[in-house]
Amino acid sequence: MIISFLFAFLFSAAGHAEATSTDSFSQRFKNLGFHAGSHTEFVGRVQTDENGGKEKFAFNPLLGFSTDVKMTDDWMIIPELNWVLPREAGEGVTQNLIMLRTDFAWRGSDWWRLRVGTSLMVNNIKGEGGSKELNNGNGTSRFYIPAESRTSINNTLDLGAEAMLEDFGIRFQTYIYSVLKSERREISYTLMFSYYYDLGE
Amino acid sequence: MKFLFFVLLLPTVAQAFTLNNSIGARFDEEKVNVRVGLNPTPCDNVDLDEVSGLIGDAMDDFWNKVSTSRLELAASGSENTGDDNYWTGELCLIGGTCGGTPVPTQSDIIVTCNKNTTNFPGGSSLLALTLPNDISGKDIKGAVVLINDTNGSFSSLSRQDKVAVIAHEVGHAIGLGHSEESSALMFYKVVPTRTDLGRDDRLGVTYLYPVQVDLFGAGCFLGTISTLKGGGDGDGGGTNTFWPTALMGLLLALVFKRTKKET
Repeated sequence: MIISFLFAFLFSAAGHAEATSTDSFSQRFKNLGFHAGSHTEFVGRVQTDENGGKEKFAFNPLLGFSTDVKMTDDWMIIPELNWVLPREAGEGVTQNLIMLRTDFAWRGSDWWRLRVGTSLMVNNIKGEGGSKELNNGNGTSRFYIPAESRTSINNTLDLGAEAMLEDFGIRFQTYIYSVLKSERREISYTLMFSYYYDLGE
Repeated sequence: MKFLFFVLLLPTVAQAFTLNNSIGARFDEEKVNVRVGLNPTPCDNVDLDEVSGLIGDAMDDFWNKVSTSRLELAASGSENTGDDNYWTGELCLIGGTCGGTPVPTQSDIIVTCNKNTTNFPGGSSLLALTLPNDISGKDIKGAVVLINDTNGSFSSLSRQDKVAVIAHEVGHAIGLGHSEESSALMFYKVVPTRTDLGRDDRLGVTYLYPVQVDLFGAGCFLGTISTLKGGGDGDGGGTNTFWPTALMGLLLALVFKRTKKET
């Protein structure tokens, strides 16, 4: 995790250093972005019903913020923090997903831009403990509710496209897990609306 | 605006994975072998050669697909149990009270057949069961999966259902309990079309075996839980991938720096 943060810092610092020689603070940090949307995990890889249906879209509310760090007129680095609001995962179990992200964005025109970047997906599952009787096919058995907090952290490759209209944006953002391991490769995505508060010239 | 915030704060669909022990025990290693146990006496109704062929699919179609889990289940052929108790013994269900024949201790996961009618009462619709895991501290040391050999219920299943049954039992073997969600593999009964894990299953295996900063699937930045403790099986996980991933990161940083100089 530390190394990933170092890379993110290196990339941001590189953009920052270039900008420092010519631009003011407000020109380097172009805006503040506030995001809201819905996050869908592992498209086509999660069974959702008894008939073999797979997850295509899920309503998992997400909030986030970012800032555009200007590198050139067309390129920028965008550090971003997103949070998928806590999801109940059964009796006394909660899932929390936080995304620490950095994108390189290329502005195609005033109204759209493409993004490529990477995320640390910090996925926490926390249980309150306890037990319950569940059907075992031949009566019931006692099973146990998790009693600890455990966290998985994945590094993803991210691709996204964003349409922009004045201070607002709508984005389709994908996150590719295990890019280098085909059997575990999975894709999640977010549909999000953004408001960009201009920090001025 | 108030309505929007109300919607955002609603909890979404509830799932409910459980564990088969109260301490959240799991295999310490990130690679666990799954073998067919060949008893001195052949099974009456279960073809263990066929089971051997199903295990690989059961692992690859289900548990080995989860990117947020570090667990790798490997189909590792067969081994002789040397003990017909596996075939005839009176054993018990997970969460139940063991009686009769002592549960044999095994490393990794053994899948075999059993025809004791105490485990599988006459005409039982139970297809298979998993014995209570062999646990030491918070580590699972071994588990045994028994396929019902009292009748032909298992052998009459479709191949897809047999794969799902084995995957379900291996779910118990790695530490998971049942789910109340019928979309989950760990639901107590076979559903008509089982092709993937449900959200419950994924949360469960991620809870038990979370990845520790996996770089694009190439390996773990900080080593796995087992390698941090000084263990590891030396077959491609954990510290073996630390330096390649670190070097790749360094290379990326250098390329980026060079590009910056040129612009």
